[in-house]
Amino acid sequence: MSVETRAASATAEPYADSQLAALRQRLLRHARFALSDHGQAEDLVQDTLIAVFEQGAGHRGESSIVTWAIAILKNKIADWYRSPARRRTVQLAPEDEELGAALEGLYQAGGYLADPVPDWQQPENREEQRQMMSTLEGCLGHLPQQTGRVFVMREWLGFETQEICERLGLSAENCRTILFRARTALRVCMQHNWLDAKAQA
Amino acid sequence: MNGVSSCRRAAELLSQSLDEPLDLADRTQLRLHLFICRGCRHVEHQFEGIRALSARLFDGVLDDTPPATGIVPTPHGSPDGTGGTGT
Repeated sequence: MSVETRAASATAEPYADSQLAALRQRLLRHARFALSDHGQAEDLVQDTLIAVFEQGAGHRGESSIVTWAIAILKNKIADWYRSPARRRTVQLAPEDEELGAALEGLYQAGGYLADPVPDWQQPENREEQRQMMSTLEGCLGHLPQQTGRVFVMREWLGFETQEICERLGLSAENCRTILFRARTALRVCMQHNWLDAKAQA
Repeated sequence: MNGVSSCRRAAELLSQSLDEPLDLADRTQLRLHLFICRGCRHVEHQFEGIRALSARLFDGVLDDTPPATGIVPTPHGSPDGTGGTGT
């Protein structure tokens, strides 16, 4: 049975094709935060859509369907990372290693900050908050692949670092270093693309 | 014990403290450093901000705003995705 058919049978009001397509796109965008394999992302999104409509999306408002579907997707991705079938180890690519070298430029000899770090103010309004979030999403897309994946497993899927190490075959020290680099790279990226851009506006 | 109270070490400990409890020695060292270093207090604030903002992004609280384009990931990076890691 297609997802469309399920949608129509499970809801009082048929869920329009356009709404379904939009929801699917939204879920794919989220799945790609955590999964580099496009086919895997498509599969888990499809599973999520089926679960959403089997459980009766019709009883919910449009905005709550989205957040509910994202929560289901998150569980499916976490389950996938925990499944024994998945390849266990990851290979850090050269760009993951090079990130560390690039970030060393933040420090002088002796490990002191080379440049002053400005404070972040809270976004002043909703529009600013949207810009900030959109910048963060752009910055995340620029993290080296494995670095980004470890960050997303920690911050979205909520894995403890110990479990991330086990699932990905990394040492605890490696895991700490990757998370440290991810946060530092995001901090620097946000500073340049959001804070500085805002100051120039 | 060169570098023990460095900003680099403080940032490592700040990141680690978001994932696991620090032992007493590390915690003390970090607190002392933060007390004297304004830049690292800002780093602390930014790490916390990134965690909070990521949570909102991942949980779908955002509107349908597309990701920003033309991002320059590091001061030396270029917007074409090479990441500024150099050769």
